[in-house]
Amino acid sequence: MQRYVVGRLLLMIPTLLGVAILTFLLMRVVPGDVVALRYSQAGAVSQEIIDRERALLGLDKPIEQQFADWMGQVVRLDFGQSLWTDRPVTEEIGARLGITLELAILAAIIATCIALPLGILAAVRQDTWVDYVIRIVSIGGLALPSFWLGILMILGLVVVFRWAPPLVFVPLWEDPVANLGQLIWPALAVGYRYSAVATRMTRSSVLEVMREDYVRTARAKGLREVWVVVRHAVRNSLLPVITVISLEFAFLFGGLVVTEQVFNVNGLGKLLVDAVAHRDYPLIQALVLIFSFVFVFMNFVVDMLYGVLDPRIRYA
Amino acid sequence: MSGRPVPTAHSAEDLARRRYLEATTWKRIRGGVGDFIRRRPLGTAGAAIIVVMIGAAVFADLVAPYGPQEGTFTGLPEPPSLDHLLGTDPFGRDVFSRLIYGSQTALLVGFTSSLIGSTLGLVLGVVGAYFGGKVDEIIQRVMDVLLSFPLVVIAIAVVAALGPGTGNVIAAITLPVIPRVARVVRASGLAVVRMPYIEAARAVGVRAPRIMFRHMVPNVFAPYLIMLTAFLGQAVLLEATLSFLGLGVVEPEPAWGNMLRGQGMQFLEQAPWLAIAPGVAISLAVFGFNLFGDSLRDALDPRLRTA
Amino acid sequence: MSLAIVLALILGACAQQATPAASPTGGAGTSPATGEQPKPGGELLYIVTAEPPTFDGHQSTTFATLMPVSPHYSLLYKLDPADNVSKIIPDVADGMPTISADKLTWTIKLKQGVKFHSGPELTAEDVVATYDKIMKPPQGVTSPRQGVYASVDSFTATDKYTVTIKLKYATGSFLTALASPWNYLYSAAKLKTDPKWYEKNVDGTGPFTFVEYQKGSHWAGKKNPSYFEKGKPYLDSYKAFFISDPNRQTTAIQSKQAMIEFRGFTPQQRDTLSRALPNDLAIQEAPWVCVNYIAFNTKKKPFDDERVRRALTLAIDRWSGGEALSKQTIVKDVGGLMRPKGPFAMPDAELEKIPGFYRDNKKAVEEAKKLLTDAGVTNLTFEFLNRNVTTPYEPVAVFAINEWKKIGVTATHKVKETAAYLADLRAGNYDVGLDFNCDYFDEPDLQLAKFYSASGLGKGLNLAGYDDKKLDGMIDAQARETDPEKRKKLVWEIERYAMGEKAYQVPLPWWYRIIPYLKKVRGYRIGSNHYTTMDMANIWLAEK
Repeated sequence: MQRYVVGRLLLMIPTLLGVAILTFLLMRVVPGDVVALRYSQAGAVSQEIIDRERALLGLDKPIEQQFADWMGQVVRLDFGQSLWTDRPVTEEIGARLGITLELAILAAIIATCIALPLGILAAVRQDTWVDYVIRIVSIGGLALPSFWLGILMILGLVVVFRWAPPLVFVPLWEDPVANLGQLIWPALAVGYRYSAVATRMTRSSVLEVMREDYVRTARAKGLREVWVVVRHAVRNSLLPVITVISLEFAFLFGGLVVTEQVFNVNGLGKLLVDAVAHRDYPLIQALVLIFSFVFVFMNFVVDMLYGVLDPRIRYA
Repeated sequence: MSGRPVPTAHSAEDLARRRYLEATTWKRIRGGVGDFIRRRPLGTAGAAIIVVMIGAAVFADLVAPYGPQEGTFTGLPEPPSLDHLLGTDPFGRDVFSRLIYGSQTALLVGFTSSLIGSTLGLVLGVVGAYFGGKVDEIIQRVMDVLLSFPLVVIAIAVVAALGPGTGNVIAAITLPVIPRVARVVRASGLAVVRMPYIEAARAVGVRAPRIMFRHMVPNVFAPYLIMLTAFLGQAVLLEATLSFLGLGVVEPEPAWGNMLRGQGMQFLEQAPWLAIAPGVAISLAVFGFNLFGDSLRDALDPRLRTA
Repeated sequence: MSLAIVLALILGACAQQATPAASPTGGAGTSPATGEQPKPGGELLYIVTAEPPTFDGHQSTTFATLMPVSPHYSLLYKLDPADNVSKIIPDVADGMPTISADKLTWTIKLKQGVKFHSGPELTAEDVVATYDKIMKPPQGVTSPRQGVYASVDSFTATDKYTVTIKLKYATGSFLTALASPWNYLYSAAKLKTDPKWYEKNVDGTGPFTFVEYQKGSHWAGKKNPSYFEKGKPYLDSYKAFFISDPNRQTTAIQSKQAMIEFRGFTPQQRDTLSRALPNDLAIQEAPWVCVNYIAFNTKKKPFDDERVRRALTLAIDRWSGGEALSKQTIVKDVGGLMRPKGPFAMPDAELEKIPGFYRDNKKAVEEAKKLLTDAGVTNLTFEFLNRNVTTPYEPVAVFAINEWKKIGVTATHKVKETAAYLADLRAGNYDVGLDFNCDYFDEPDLQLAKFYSASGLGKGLNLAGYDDKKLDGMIDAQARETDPEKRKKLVWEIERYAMGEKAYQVPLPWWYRIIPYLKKVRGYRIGSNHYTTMDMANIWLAEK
């Protein structure tokens, strides 16, 4: 077991290294640079000034040297300075990490609360109108563009209640009402999609378990249907549901881009879009690395969960 | 299918599958389709939506009352009328016609990206499963890298590096499909590769490509098909999302994403039809693909989990 | 004359209810429009579309710095907030400069008792250090507008409150350069210890002191009790919210979370707000010193042929196009190289004679077709490079593409993300591009800068890539002309030559600012740009 865990952790390294190299190369291949952008709004900036500024930021160095410099820093956990704001990348990310994390957790809670009961209900009442309605509602979650849903939500709030979510972020521990007042809406908007994914998984997973022999046996023993579902089916079908919720969480972390934009939430997704638009290399590289890390780590957690929850799986 | 033991008849579903497995090919298809329609009303509804969409795209020139870029430029959108069923946009272009022509773009983007993406995924998955060892390890690591890469970065990189246009939007949407399909196909492939008949084929010296193509691909075709349908809908949605970020198909080409984006969003209150029409079209299309895809999965392989 | 430039209109039937505030409540001190006495107190809440990349105005080129940061700083001279177009008044300068007979020596007296928020008094040394940093930035510091001060020989502090400026040659635009909204006055001592200090810190002599900056959320300031202008600022404090999504901006004002946005809204945002808030909204509108140019890549065939370029500009019916576009995006008035209705604008009667500006579009189309035939160009197809920004780039480009169809020309819209678009434009990697220019003042030196030869002064600015010694000479000549009327004539000559005869870079209808805001906000007068009068010293709230 211990060896397996260490092995799995070590496997993260090539993946993250690959991500780092790929990001670095991709961004260098893409045309455009931060200096030209910085001066794009005022017309009268001469080429000379732009060249000087590029040299100042080290953008005129050969690409392999830039990469070596950057890797050298990262190994020492120094992600460098943002080219756009000239502040430490860690500071830029630190200011947003909490918001995105909270938003993702809220969405996960919402999704779980919706998905478990609906998914189980749909499975138990398979091929009845209950099942159909639940399936249609959850497919709707996959079909609606989330930015579209978000814009309609804000518009609805403003038109109907003459109220819009607060503009300024307040940490949860300072003012829970104001905090939730701001974050609950984007959480709902993405939570709908998230719950759709989880509902569908719950349904199919419960259905599958209900076909297993031991459930049939339980039924045959004359146990009441509710009891069968709760005791056997649900318990044993939880694993894939947990998996999908965890993996979606990792996707969500890097996938809040559009929602954050629509709700004007100051999170990592918005930061990433801006960073890419600004060609802010160190910031992009750090952000992509973080997203990848979360993703890889959640995968690891899921694997470990399997080991703990499913007695059939043994890690040699 | 031959690899799986025929289940004991228990439910109606099992019965249907049993009938399916026992029938001949032609009967299988006819019976399958009939069975599908009878037993899966939701899936049939989804299929109907898709058929309508394909019809609209193929016969766009006949169905659409106006050309996609035809119109008198007055500055303001016109509300729906008998002349313009869904009104016009600020360039005087007929929204209904653009919607019809937009279905060409949507289908093109959807089918091409999910077909290419899924097929590349299929190849990588099968190759990984067949060879195992180092080859598999390398493919897996590369897939992991692709998988953990945020979509926006890929999309911007592709669109910015290659320039704009439908083709590059397709490329941007294709990339994230590959690792997801490869993963599922590899898992199914691993189960197949240990089957005795594959071992036997190897032993008598059948070449690797032939084994993979003749014996493994048919066996992982169900998950491949299911993933492909699932990504069809997602591709349409992704195109709209990319459009929202300004990275989608470009005006004046008609596409649902760019109809929803610029003028649609700006005239949200004054001319809601501009945003509602493409919004509904996108949702309906994705809805249709998903309904159909779900039912297809239930019919082909209820054990496969693709959320 | 300048008063005539500022327009304030009631727009659309829906806006009629908003009549009470439809005329802008202007001005410094008392507002001339209503004669109201400013009320002290309250907090101004406004929207800024983007976040400041740096706090240092000298290094910035974006309104995103000016809008939240300007309230902390003073300038030597500034635009009169009651006029906001061309009238320059002293800020920390004590009166207008004394100019020597040869126009080469300028003497500026400073107000006494102007204090930095951190305590020390602002002296001539600080002004000199500030301008030295702008004109000759130290290692590691950039200064994008260095070129504007090419005429300056030196800034010296002749005594504690006197600055003497020596010029190498006289120019007609030097006072404007001293009133640049970017030129925040900094402390000489702070600059000496760290020339980059002001990138991340704030210490000015302006009407508001710095409170906080929460990244991605807001910027806050509060009243500076020791501000040198007695009785100002009127506001107790201000908060600038950073909101980039246009729909979210509208809902913020609609739900009264914010009161105003100073850059400009689209006509749709205006109409939405005037319908939703009939009794609380005021609207001000004015032509903007911003414009989109169609830049022809003169290094590529067939755009090296002026007949082809002229044909392409002729096809565009700017008059009806501007009218129609103004209903859906932020462009409106037709103008040449100088802002329409601005002090240097060519009268319409003259403008109409220039190819591309004919009132009779049929005639123009005929002429264009003939030009193409003469040039031997048939079935012209090219790529039209644009950036992926909706307002106003997308509709403006679609408009131009449609117009070109009339003369049998097919343009493919090639939209790139801003960074890639800029890279292509600068590298000359395009056929025809949609370029843009934005300035803070109606000033030919600024607006004509991008018309200099590409291998000369126009390097990096003139994206059409041509070299034209004759045009260079014409631009130089107007810069050195100090008589305003004569200068105007010279500028018009340039317009006729550069956009009519040669058609190197041709303007589309000029941008148009629309500012719908809660009418309780008083003391803001819309100007020709979104950079000036952002110190908020004159803004007050009619109700809390």
